[in-house]
Amino acid sequence: MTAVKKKRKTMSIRQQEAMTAYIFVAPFVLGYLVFTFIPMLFSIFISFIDFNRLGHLEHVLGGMVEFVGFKNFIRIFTDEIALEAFLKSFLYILYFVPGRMVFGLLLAVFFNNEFYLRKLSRTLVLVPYVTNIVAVTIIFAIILDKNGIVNSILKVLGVNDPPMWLFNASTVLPVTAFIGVWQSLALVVIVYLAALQGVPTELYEACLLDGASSVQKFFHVTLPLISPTTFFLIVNNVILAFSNFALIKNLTGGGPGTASRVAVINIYEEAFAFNHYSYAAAQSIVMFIIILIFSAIQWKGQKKWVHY
Amino acid sequence: MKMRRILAFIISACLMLSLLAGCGSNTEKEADSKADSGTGTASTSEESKTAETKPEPVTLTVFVDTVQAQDQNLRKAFDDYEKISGNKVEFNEILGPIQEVPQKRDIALMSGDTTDIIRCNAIEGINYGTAKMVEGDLKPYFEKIGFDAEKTFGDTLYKDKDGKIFGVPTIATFWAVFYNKKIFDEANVPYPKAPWTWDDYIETAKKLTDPSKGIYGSYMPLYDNMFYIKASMAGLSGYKEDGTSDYDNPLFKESMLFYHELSAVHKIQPSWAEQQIKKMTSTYFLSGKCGMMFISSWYFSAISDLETYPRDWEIGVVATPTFKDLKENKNLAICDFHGININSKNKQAAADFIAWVSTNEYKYRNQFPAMANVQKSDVEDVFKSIEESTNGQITVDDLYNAYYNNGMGVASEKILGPIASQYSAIIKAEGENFITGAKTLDQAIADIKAKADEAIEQATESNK
Repeated sequence: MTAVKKKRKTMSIRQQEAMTAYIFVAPFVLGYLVFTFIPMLFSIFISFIDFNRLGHLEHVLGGMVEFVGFKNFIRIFTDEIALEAFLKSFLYILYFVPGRMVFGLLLAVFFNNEFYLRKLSRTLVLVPYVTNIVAVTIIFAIILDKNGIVNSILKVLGVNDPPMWLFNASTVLPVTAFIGVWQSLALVVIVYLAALQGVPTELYEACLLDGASSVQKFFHVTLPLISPTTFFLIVNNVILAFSNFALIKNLTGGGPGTASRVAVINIYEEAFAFNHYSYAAAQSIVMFIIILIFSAIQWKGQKKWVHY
Repeated sequence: MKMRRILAFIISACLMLSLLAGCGSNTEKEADSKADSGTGTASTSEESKTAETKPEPVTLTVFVDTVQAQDQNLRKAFDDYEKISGNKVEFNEILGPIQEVPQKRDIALMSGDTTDIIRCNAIEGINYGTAKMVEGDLKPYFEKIGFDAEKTFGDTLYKDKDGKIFGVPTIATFWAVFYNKKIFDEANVPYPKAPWTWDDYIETAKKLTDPSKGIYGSYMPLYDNMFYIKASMAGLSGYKEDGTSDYDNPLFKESMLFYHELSAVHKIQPSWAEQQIKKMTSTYFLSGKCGMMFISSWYFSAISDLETYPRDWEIGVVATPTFKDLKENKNLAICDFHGININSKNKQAAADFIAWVSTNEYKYRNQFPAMANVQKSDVEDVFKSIEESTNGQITVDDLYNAYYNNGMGVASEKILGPIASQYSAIIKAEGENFITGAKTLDQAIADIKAKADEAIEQATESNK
């Protein structure tokens, strides 16, 4: 018996590499499809139907729910609470994004210098970022209490009636944004630090020869050269500010009243407290479009100030 | 090369498997039950009759939260039911924080979960009834096992507009005032005695309040219904006869002002704001820093739990104070809800289980029955058990006088109806707006009325 070896059909190296790549990418693609893309399509679908009460999903999928066109979207523009929630999201962005960018950059510049205990300081900046959000909210609730540390200091300084920071309609949003900045600053610092370390030292040496001051060096060399990082971080921060759910939910729950009820909290309430699934889906799509427009504007505008 | 390909495949497979593992659900502990057996087996009580022909035992599943899943007394009740009926009862535990349980249960049910029994609060139960997610007519199932739900529960049954029963209560909770005898003794104030009024309550609390020791005379939980105590005690439902919001009734305005003044004017209890910020919970009273607490009878489970809430002071209980200017004062109360999942495959057995727990569970858990016409003899064992668990600090007579022999009728502690959840959220938000000064009392009340009316209109349109 002579064994006849069949010639195995083999893939080329290129095909094998492509196959390996597909296999590696497959888990992500599968996860993305199941957990992001399909739910997104489903959200778009239910935003156009009347699924604003409890009911079985099989009825929805079975087409037993009325198609209402843009009714859920139109309702947003007559819903005072929803409009206020979007407005509060914009306000939150105004507090959160500049705060995170400025403090992040300042700390990164600081950490870019040699000083005693630099490594320990860098580590300490990371601590809030890895701390449980519930723990963060409890600590700040104590610090900002009516008789907490902050108000005790203010009283010593002569402020008679300091506010209840988290239960005052005019202070709750900026204070929440400040806590958000403090908690998530590490990422901005790390990214900026990496960017700062990539700025060629020859340019600073040239500035030194030209007699430029430190401020001039920062504004004319450092800032332009890290502008791609700044652009990335701004886009990232705006998205983060819009979707910052956990901190606000745990810290204030959207209160007092509706003072910190930003869009993402309102969407959650509509969907899971009131079972207005279609209406919540419509609001989330509006939020998605707003983020898209924000990002597009920034993308267009970057040509004027980002230097690659 | 071959080794590398194998390695790539293994890594990728592991990633894929870990991804898929994350998709598993722990709420899908489906009953290994057979198809609907058609008839139940259990009796309404241990003494009552058993069905003549015993059908095949089935495994019933019940939605419970993490606290209920740890409750040994509840498990004991279910174990006893298993012995009587031959059926098996399994918990379908909804994991995670208690406040997220309703959302998780909603989603499970919407996705077609077949857990047989839905156990929840009144608001959620009514929502499931309206959404037809629970069996809409339990009478035929009860008739098969000889259980007269109407006679047993009367008005506390959950019925639709056509009078069909879609839910049964098991436990009723009634409100009363608990007090810390040590704080009373130290302040040289006599223990409160019913009948008494809310003015008496305020005056007593003032005498107990001692800011230097951090002691408040009064404490009330952070429930939205604190904003409408007086209206509830007057028996208002929150809806007019035409179905619109009744929040323009002056009693709602008086109620909100009454609650606000307890902290803002009388300074007898921490404000809503302070409680929110400090994340103070209902168990704050058990820290020994409050003279009195107005709360419902579920609190007995916390009082009896000396391991979690140890205390070196004695406790007392007295009936809810009354409002002098109300013609009739009603005590606040609410019942829980048991219904059969519309997707259950064991509806008859589930009805049998509900009939049994609704008339027996309270005995195991030191709670009050939701049955109509409760006599002292019905609750004597429970009261004795509470007396024992409090080392005689609260006697059987104290309990009977505080909860049953108080000369008051009973009214729902919560605004229920078609927009119960939304009503609650609106009242809470506008109440906070008033408390923080963001709105005047009149503005807040007018906004509650307007927003509630809008929500009612939308709910009516959506349910058409």
